[in-house]
Parts: sequence; structure tokens; C-alpha cells
Amino acid sequence: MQAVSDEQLIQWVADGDASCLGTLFERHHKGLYNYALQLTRNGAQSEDLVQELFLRLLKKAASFRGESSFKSWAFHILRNLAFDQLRQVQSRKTDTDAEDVLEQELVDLRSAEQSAAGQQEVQLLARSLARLPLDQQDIIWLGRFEFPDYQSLASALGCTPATARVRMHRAIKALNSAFDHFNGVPSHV
Amino acid sequence: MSDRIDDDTALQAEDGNNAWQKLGQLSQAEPDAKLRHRVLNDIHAHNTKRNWLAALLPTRPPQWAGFAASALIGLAIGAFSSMSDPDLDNRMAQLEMQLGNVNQQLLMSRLTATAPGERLAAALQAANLEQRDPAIAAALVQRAAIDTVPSVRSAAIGALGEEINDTSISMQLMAVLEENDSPIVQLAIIDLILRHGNAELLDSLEKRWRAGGIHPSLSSYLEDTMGGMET
Repeated sequence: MQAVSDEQLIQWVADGDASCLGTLFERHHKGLYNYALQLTRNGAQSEDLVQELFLRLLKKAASFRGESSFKSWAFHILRNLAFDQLRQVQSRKTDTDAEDVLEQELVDLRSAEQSAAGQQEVQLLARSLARLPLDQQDIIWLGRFEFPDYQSLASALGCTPATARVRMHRAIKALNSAFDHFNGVPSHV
Repeated sequence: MSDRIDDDTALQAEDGNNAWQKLGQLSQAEPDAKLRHRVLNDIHAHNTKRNWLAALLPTRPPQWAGFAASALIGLAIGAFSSMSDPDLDNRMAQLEMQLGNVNQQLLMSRLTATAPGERLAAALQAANLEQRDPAIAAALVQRAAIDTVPSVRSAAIGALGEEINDTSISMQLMAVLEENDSPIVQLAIIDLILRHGNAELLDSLEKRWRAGGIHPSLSSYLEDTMGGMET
């Protein structure tokens, strides 16, 4: 358990002590960066997004009302920033070859250790995940690595827990299909 | 239904490849160390930009109220100063007293603010007040005793100045000295006693030190100052 909660720290930031944001950065930047990386598939762009997020947090700290956890709030803002940016950069989906390169870059960024250990199955899974539509990658990543329950996941996504659950089920089903495809397993449908 | 995703049996049933569990083995990438520098620079720049403004403008609603009241009283003083009313001196004195009260309330509110930086600034401001109400001294003693941030505690102690010789305050501070093992806080109390304390307090401090009631890292400091002092 942490001595000072995230919610208390962001309150102090709102009260004028911006240095408390440094502690929040230390606690969450890696998770935020990896989430941005999953969405953008680009290390430099993900770092820019995380930097932009913390600038927003500095300016918007006073608008945090504690209706969700600080972490859900931060991921929700980052999600909006990333999706806005991705909408502007439509070129990502124009060319299948370019998509494959980006997908491979993402897997390479993430799985150097797996590669060394010869864990091909995990690499394949990472690649399957990268092939899914963004909203499905989004929910799987957040649910698997950041928010262990539907309530907090829903807060980060800005939907109800029931909606988060339905979307998670669809995403997992899609991930399994993509994984089968890479493994050469014929579709059951 | 269970709220935990790991316990969602329907989800597990759909996950024929056990992908959910396998994903947990995926390593996380490390962001470049420059990201930390960039964000910390942003925070520093924000602090620097805000500091001069923060010195003038309050940040919390009660302070805004005090700030607005001070401004109104200031305007009223300006208006009265152009009058030749025989009661002008009385009115001016009343307004000045009201202004003093508002400033004091503002300071009291800042001493109990949530942000440690705000409390620290209030304690430092209290140290520079020419005239001080006993209520502020009491608030400073309370900060010295209970504040969670050592630098705020030591600033509050330093702000007490000659009020350390007030029996009630000195007793409370000696209790803080006894209960507090933070060397920063102990040093602030020792310094205050050495600078402003009467003979009785100096004697009391020396007894506590000789009895081992002071942090060991402050011993040489006390040896240098009190060792050669006749009490």
C-alpha cells in the first residue's frame, strides 16, 4: 500500500503543488507508455502522448472529482488523446505492407526478451493482438495489464461495466481467431 | 457476475487458446529515459511560471474570499483618504483593523491548506509578521506538532520567534522535541531556543541533551554551542 494515494497527490497538484505530479509520473508512466505503444505502435509517438497527458493533468488537476480512481481517469484521458491523434493520422490503415511493418515493430519493441528465450507462442500472440481492430486491442490491453475488474476498466473506457464485459468477450473471441489464423488452424465458423 | 476479469468463467470458456493467461507473459517495453526529463521539465516550467502569480493570487475558495475582502477594504481606505471628515481617523483605524483580521484569517487558512507547499509558504509568511495574534502562534504550534511534512514543522517552529518564551508554547514545543525523532524538527527547536530562549529553556534543553533525548547527529552541534555556554 502506498503512503499517499494517487487521488491525494492529484488533489495536491490541484492545490498548486505541481511537484506531486512527479510522483504520479513515477508510479504510472510505464503502464501509460505501454498502453500508448499498443495503440500507436510507435515508441516516439507514445512518449509524446505520455508527455502531452502529463501536461493535461497539470492543467486539468482541479477538474478531477474522484468519481473514478486517478489511474482510470489518466488512462481515459490518454485514450482520448491517442484516438484523436490516430484519427488524424489515417495513413496507418492504407497499406497492408506498411501495417505488417508497424505490427512487426511493435512485436519487436515488446518481445525482445521472449525472442531470446524462444517463446514463439507469446510472440505470435502479440502479433495476433496487434492485428485486431484498435478498440479490441484497447480493451484487452487495459483489462489484462492495468484494470483487473470490469468496474475500473469501464471507468477508463468511459462505459458501463456491463458494456465493458460484452466488449471484452468479443475481443477475446477475435484474439483467439487471429491466433488460430497465425497457427494455421482453420476457422470454425 | 464476478467483477474480476480473471474470475469471469464465461470469458475463459471463449478463450480456447488460453490467450488471456499467455498475454501475461508478454514483457513490457521501457520508455526512453528522456521521457522522464521532458515531463519533469514541464512540471518545473509550470511551477516557475505559476510562482510569481501564486504570490499575488490565492488558489483556494476561502482564500479568494479573503483576497476579495482585502481588495474591497483597500478600495474603501483609498476612498476615505480623500475625505475631510473629522471621524476619518477612526474609520481608517477600523478599516485597518478589519484588513488585519482578514489577512490573519487568510494566513490561518493557508496554514491548514492541503498542499504542503502552501502550508510551508504560510509558515514562512507568519515569521515575517510584525504583529501577531495569539491564534496564529497557536496554529504554528499545532503545525509544529502534527504536520506530516518535516519542512513545514521546522518552518512553523522557526516562525514562533520570541514567543518560545511563552510558558504554554514552550511546554508544547518541549513535548514536540521529546516525541519527535526527526533531526530537522529537533534542530529547528534547538535553534529557536538558542536564539530566543530564556535561561530556563536553555537549561531545560541542556538537561534533555545530557540525558540522551536529542538525536545523535545533533550532538556535535550542541557540544559546539552549549558545551562552552554557562547556564
